[in-house]
Amino acid sequence: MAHAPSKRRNIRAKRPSLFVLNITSMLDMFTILIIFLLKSYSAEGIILTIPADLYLPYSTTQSAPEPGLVIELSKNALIVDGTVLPVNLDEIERSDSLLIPELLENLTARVRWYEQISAVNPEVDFTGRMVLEGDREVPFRLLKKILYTCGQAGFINQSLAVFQKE
Amino acid sequence: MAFRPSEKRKQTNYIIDLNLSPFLSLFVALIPLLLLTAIFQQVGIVNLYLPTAEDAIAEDAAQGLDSDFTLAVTITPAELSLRKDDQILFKDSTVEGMDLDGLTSQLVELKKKSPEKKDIVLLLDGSILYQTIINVMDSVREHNGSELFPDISLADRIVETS
Repeated sequence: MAHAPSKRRNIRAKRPSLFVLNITSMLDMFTILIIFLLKSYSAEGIILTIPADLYLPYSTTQSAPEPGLVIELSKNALIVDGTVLPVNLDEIERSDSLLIPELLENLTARVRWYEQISAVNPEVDFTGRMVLEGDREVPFRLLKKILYTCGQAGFINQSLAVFQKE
Repeated sequence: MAFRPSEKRKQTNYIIDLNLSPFLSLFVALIPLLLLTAIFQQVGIVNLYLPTAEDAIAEDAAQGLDSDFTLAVTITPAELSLRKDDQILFKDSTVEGMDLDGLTSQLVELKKKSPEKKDIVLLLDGSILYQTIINVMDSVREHNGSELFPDISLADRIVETS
């Protein structure tokens, strides 16, 4: 007697048992994305983080940022290396004094700290380098007070952070 | 007794399917990483120049040379002017939109006459906005890739009282 293949089995064979997801086109897209992102990826240089409410001015400069103390000056806050200073910028803007006492106090403490480190570790050297991230709508009368105070505290290598124009 | 049908017959329409799922996993990991580290807005810096004691010595040494003069750009809401010592070289009083190109062309002429000169002072009114200061610094620092006066100092404008 011949062995007849079961009918049931035939029916099962017609139905695809495994569902294969076609991801080729998605991979094409991902490859393009990867190439684009790798092109815009920069592994070198100092990355300055800019707060969301701070709009830097645009400039044609080509100089890359260098490490230094970061001072952020937005429209309503003065932040030194991540610490918000208890100052009222409107009052500072109106005052006749060029010096901002709170900022000077904070900065001189930092300079002293650096000096203590360099006394122990000669490889650490206080360069007096600072980067000011200022909002583009800050008037000069406020800017000069901050730059002046930094200069008085010993930060004399001053640079201004800007967005580079294309 | 007949044999069981051969299993080989089933392999006639055999579709080769590349298994791309490992690539997919790789890309899923790589893309968020690169997106997080991507920099879409390049940040640069503009260096400020503070005169030091050594510069004062160099200035004394430069006395009598071509570069022994003071360059000052005055910026107020109503005026943009360039002075070489007491002599006004350029003045623009347009209220809206400063003539920075005119200033730059004057500075290019000056640079040709005294290539050694590098420092310039910006005398600013208190109400001038930061973006305007940077714009003026850009037009004073370089022109078409050639260096003009890169050592820029900022100063308060001296209010002339009559």
